Amino acid sequence: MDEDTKRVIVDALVGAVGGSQATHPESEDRWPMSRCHWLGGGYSEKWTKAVADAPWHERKTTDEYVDWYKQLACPRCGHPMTVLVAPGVMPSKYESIRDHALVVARCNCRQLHTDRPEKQLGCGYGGYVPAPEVTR
Amino acid sequence: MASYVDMPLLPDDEQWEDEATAARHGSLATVRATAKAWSESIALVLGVFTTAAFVKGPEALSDLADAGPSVTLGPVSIPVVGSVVVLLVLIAALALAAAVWKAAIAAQGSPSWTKQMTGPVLAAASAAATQEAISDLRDSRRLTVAAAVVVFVGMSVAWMSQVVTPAKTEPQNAIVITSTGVACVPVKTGDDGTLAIAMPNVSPAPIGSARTITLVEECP
Repeated sequence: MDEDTKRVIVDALVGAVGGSQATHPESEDRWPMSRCHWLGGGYSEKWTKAVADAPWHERKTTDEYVDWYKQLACPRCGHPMTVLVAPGVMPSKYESIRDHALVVARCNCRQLHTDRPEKQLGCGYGGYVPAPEVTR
Repeated sequence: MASYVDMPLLPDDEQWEDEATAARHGSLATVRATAKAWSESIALVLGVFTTAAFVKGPEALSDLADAGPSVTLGPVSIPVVGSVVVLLVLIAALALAAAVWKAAIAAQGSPSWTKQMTGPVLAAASAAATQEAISDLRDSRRLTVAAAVVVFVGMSVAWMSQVVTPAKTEPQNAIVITSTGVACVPVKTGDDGTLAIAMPNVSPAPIGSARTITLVEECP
């Protein structure tokens, strides 16, 4: 059995029963893997691109302000996750918001993932996605 | 299709995001806490001007009006020492007020509303606010030292003017008996060394020929 064949078998097993990337490299081709282990700081281009492509929805919070959210299935675990951007009070005057128009997106599904620390959500994957455009 | 950012999420980035979420939920409490702290700062700023009266010198600023030379400008006579001390009091008060203002801004910041309160925005704003607070704190300390120096100079001028200026003799009540009558009047030693009647707002008048002059505490 050559190495490529072994790799395909391992990936298939990890995808089927879940597993740790520390011991088995996780193939993104097998995503979504609902029983994958929690992997803190997990990052991949595929995950970020999929989350970035999900559309922002504008939600009116008051007559004057809105917040934005996107709701999608986590590209890795397939569980529902959300990303929220909302207004708030800064500790000081700060205007140049567009210079940092990035939003932290993290899988925040509530489904169980092995090895996940207490009080944490999701499967551990996250990344930066562009912030929604401020239209008003 | 939206572009994406090929950048991993570091633990510190996640912490900023968590703090942004917490700050967003605590927005009202933040503003109210800052307002409360500022209301206390108002009393401090106003109190500075009261405290500055400490420079008033041995008795009161009004005492300095008679100390030292005066400059006459038309009908107005301006005491030099008193004017200098008053000017120093004002400079010290302004410097102290500015020092309190700067310290208050450094301590409280100036909360502002943002439409997108995110981790990256909070991280950048916190860095900018920290640099501003450092600058305000440094300015506050410099202003405090400057105010202390001005206060010291003002006190020195005030006290020195009292030391080098002979005390003025206050008018003394006296019962003056002349050949034509008796009167109780305030008297003081005139510029020529003789006793003179010292009525308020009137130039001292020589007593002239008096049979007896009896000093009393109060006129009957």
